[in-house]
Amino acid sequence: MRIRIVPGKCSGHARCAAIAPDVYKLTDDGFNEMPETLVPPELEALARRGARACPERAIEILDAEA
Amino acid sequence: MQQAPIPAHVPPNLVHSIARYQTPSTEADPYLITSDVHERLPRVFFTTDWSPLYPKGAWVVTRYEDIRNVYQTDELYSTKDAANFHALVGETFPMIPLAIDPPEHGKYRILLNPWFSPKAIKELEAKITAITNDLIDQFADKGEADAAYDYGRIYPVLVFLDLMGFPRDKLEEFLTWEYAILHSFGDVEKVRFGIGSAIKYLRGFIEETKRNPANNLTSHIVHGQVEGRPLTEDEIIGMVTFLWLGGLDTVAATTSLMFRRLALEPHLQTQLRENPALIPSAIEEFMRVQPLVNSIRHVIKDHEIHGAQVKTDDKIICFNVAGNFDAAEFERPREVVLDRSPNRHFTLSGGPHRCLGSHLARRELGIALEQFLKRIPPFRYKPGADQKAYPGLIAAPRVPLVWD
Repeated sequence: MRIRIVPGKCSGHARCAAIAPDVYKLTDDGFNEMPETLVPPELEALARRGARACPERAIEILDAEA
Repeated sequence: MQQAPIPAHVPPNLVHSIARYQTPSTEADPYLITSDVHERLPRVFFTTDWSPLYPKGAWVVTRYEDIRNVYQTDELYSTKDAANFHALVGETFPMIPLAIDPPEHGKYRILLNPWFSPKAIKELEAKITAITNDLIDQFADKGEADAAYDYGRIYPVLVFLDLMGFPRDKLEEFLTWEYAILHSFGDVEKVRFGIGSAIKYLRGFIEETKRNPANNLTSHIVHGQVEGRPLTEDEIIGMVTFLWLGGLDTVAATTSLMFRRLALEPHLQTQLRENPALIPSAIEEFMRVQPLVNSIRHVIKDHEIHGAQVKTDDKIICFNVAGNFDAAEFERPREVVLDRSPNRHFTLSGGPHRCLGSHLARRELGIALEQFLKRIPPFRYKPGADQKAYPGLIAAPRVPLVWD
């Protein structure tokens, strides 16, 4: 599973990192500028919760093809 | 102020009053009054009794999804003339960054973000802990305290005074001016007094800071740069005034309502005392159920929202006091669920103008709650106390508590 940040949508609420600090790494200013990133299986559930926490819907979950 | 006529393009059947949604109550949830908004009113409607500062009235969106669209669509909605209190005293500078639209807006946020980032706020934790404990020291062994007047009203302002470099002895005067602007039910003369006094003081403080740079946010602004050039006089006063306005009241109001709710719903206190790890998500939930700001925007392009024809130069309001309780987004919306997840509320606004002070507010509230619960036993309202609270910034000016 990969996570992708929709360009221009992050406004720095930092809810993703508050829920899943091991998955979502913010800039010093508190914004999510991560490139498309592969999530280790043991962090997938947390990554989904963190993505859902975003008021801007700035985080896309890209599931691997079956 | 004179009520202007309803714009010709607004169908009369879409005009509704929102006065009832600004009335106080003694319910545990002072926002209960907005429960009928989604059933009773059209999805998009027009109101003329928002505030005497907006005599032409405004459109109102009340559903979470529609509110999100307004926050996220700066091609249609501008923040031009936002927080325009100072126009009442003949000032023309913009409140910065709020009244500036992207892409200019981002340039000002770049200057300010580092002082309010999660990382920067972490550095303030020791100070916030010390300030809250100093206040608790004043009442810990008295068996009673006013969670608003003795605590919530004070700690956020002291943190903010220090951040900006203002002298601590300005506390009461700042609060007097602030209340005159934001708590006077639109009494224009009071607003003039408040904003006029604040701007006069701030101009003097800015001049002093020009002569004497210091390690505080005001100095960072006064001696700062935007796009490689110094800020203009208007930019400096616009930024400092806006920070002054934004920093004093909102956390205090949230604190007073939060402690009031904990006093009236003791099972919430029990949950938090048994599991302090809940505090961060509890703060998020208190923010959701206690929105203080219903954002207003200026329409910059004719368009339609769910059948309503909205025109350039109309105003539109994101009615968070209803949107934060939208069942389409929040399960059991009227229930305070301390571990609610997701909790994507818009109390701190959304889109580019997401509240600059978000992380400071969260951390202040978290520490204030944690320290109080640690040092004070289970508390309740003082018998006979007035339990009235407003569903907005006026909140609960007094929350007298007692404990055994």
